[in-house]
Amino acid sequence: MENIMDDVVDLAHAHCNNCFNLHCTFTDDPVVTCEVVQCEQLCGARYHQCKQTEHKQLCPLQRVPCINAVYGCTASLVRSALSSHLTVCPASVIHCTMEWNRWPVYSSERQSHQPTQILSHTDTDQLDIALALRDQRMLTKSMRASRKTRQILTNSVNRKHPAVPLDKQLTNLENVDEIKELEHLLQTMQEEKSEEERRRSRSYPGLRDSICSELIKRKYSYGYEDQHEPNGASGYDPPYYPPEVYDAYPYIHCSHCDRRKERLERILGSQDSADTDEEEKDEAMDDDRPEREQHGATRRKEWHHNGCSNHVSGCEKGTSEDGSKQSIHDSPKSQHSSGSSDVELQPPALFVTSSTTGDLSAAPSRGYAKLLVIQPQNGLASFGKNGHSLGLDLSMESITRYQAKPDSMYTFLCAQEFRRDEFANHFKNVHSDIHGGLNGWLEQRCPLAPYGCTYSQRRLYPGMHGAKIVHSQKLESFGIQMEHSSKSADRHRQERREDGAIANWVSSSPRRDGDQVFQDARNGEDTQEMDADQVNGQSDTPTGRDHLSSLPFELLQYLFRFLDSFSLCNSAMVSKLLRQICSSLLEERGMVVLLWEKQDKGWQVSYKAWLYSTAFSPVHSWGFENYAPIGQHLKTCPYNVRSDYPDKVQVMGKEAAIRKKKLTKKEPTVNEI
Amino acid sequence: MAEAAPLDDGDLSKKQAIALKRIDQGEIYKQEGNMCYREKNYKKAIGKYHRALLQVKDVDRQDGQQMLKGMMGGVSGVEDRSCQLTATMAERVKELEMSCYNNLAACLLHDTNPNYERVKEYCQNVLKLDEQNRKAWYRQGVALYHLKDYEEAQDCLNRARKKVPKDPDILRYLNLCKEALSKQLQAEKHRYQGMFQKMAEGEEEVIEMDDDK
Amino acid sequence: MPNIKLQSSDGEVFDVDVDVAKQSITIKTMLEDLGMDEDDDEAIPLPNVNSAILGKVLEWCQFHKDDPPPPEDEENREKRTDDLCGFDIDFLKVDQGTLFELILAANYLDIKGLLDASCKTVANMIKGKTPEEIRKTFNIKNDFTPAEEEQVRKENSWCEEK
Repeated sequence: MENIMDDVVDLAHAHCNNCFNLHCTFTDDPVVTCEVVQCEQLCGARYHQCKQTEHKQLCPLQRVPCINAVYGCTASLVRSALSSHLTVCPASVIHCTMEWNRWPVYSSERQSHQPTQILSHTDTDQLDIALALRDQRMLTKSMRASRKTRQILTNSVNRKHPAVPLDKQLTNLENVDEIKELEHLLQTMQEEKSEEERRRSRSYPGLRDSICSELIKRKYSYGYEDQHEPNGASGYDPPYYPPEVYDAYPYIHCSHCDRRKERLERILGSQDSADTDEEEKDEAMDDDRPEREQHGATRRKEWHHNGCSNHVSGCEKGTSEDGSKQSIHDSPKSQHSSGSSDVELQPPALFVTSSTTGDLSAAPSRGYAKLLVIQPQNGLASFGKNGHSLGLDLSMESITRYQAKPDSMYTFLCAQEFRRDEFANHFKNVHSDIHGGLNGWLEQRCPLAPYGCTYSQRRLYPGMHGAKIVHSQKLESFGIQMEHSSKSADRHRQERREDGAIANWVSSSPRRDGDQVFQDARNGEDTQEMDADQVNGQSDTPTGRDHLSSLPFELLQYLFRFLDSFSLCNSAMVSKLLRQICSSLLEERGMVVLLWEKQDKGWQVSYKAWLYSTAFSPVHSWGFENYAPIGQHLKTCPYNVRSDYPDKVQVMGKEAAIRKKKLTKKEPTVNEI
Repeated sequence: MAEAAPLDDGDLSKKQAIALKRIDQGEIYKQEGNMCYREKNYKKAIGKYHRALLQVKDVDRQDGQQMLKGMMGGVSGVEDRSCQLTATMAERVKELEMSCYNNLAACLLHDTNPNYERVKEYCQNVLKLDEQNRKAWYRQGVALYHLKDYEEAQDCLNRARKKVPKDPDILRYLNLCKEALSKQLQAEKHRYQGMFQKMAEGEEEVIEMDDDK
Repeated sequence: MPNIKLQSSDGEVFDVDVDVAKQSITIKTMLEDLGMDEDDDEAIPLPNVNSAILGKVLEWCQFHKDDPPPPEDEENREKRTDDLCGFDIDFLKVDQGTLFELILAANYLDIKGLLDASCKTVANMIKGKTPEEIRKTFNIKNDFTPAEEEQVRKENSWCEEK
């Protein structure tokens, strides 16, 4: 450092070198001195002109790019404001590394058995189920990830259980990886030229549902012609695309997407469009886990598979024998999924005794006079459009680092990205408050849930009355929704009269009880529609006019500044106009991430993606809703099977009592001896 | 609704008709304001100019829409929000706003105790619409002079000079600024004089020390 | 108390207290420029606001006339939507048409408090809803093509070439 400074100083004149006089008037010899000037930015500094370059590197009022410019931040600000900007810098992105674990429903490693939950649409409004379904989706995706990806994720801590990677919502590494895998696969295919090898080789299960396949489909269905990215997109202004680009390929992001598409077309065009069915995939998956076969308990391995892939655990048998367990072992490898990415497990039959419940396969073969077998509804058709079942346990476990993680337990990562200023509230609200409260505190379940009752009630509200936590399947995250109806206004008014204290027992609409279990699955949007109609006490204008979109742009921008990032994410998917508004707020409220791509020279940053995080408005306090005690529900719970024992039962048999008397008589007492 | 609208604006939808009426009314107010100004009735003139501005404020100005159009190219769905003003109407609005703000600044300067900040603000409004407006630069220079920001004032006055270099008013204010600036420098020099001596002595010591090394 | 006359777009004249009217920065600026002569005779026409809305606006201003001036809006301050006072919540319990008209009127008259309150109300109607729910609430037409919608759903981001 000193050497550099010496060089700089040496460039200055001999006099100026040592002169720091603010009002120096030594101007005799132009060789050794120059005039004193004032800083251009008016920071107050005065110096000889030859030192101007040096001063610019120090001047607090000099406009400089953000420190994170290399990570994508486009801000240009005065040097003195750099540090305060960092807290809200869009390039200051933090990845949440929170982990939690879940047992699968079937696991012999676990002491108890939990029945599979059969879900109707309304159940997915319950937060613990929503989160468990999200985990199940992640698990499914991770099981379809390439072997290489899964190997990368295994590390010294997670030796057996790679944490489940979350598919990024951006152009994701997963797809890039899969394409590479595919290329490698094609090469291998050509080299080997063996029918059997081809069958056993890694197929590309995820690719059909990936975004690349969508691009291909679109190309052929819309007659899109390849267009290269226009030159206009240099530097970031809200992206401007000339009209012809829009018409031809809407929302083309950049040439990276184009290159990907070309590559994919090339790859897919060069091979047969062999459809893989699930069997092949599962076989491949089997092969990919040689380490699992080392375990003594092969059955455990099967359970592991069964818990996560589309296997059927075909246990519709009656009272079990050992044969039934065998039947699970030999269970057919696959059932064709209906093409959706949701895991659909066939709900098993359950046994229920007076002391325990569980999967029919694990039912004790003898010793029970009464064995109640519950046959759940068969067929996915009965679930309706959104029907699915849950193969993971509802409760979350946390395993510390020094504990040995059970083999069959799955680990899940939050893996969402947040801006620096949003992360703290995310961690506190989502992981600490919500996740921590799903075990019965925030979402209270009927005690008969293990028997199948799906009733639950929300006990707490976030922040203020009328707000509730929701889970968005599209964004795979939690958010806050405000219930804006006359009822909430009444509550609020009453609350305010009590001097702002959070009222515990302010009257509110009574909670629905467990009868909703038998209600037809209602379209969730109908509920929302009701709320919307109740908005502000009156229904919408009869003509159904869109007032929001007719506001001036600046006003809409001002309005959208009040929204949290979660709502901005959702709003950006509503219409083109709202999407434009959201894009104009990116630099203030969004984040920028660099996306890497493997190129010839190695991994390179190919482009920057601007997006909103899923953070919602911070919740600083929670209040109790006015909920009925769970006993109210139990009175009408359909699973509350009462057993009445009108006859008296002898605790001890008569004979036993007589025998005991005899014994006590025969034995000599101590005194007698 | 009765309208004496010039038909050169083409087909008029109902909204455009309303806008046109407002623009017409705004121009009427402006004319009335001009009359009051000539009669030196500055307060009344100010009232008229403000009323004129209220007529044309938010009459579906093109600024926001232009920004939007620029971003979205020709995407369909944005057409519903397209500007309701024709080019002629938009031009009239712009002219009206410029002259009203300019005249307001002029009126305020005639006040016994003018609010120079407000004058500066109105001049800036004009310059947003037209960067080359000579009067706005001049009045802004005057306001800045009175607010004692002499360098900025000089800057503004010089810009006003570009079109009419020999304007006596501008020259007069430039001189005033120059004088004021030199007075300021003198005062500063005087303030630092004492410090000067001390620093000079200190400097010599430092140089001596360095020489010794 | 000095009064001022405000005329709505449909000709109705409202006689209001100057302190109430000064909630509007636009009117306040004008009154400051005019100084002591408030031009009592002539009403101030407000062509962007009809009588119903102007009435509501003045009602709001009347209630809030003793409010302290709002703090300077820092850019990075957390924008909360849960700090509406009880009066505002009830006041803004109106149909959407009126609510949006109030937003436009508050913007026209430059009344920050009313603008913020009404925008927060609308923001609360948007918060937490799925895109479909938002469309239903505001009757917004989905102008994405199915292809666009699919792409936006999968990659809800904006890309920028490096």
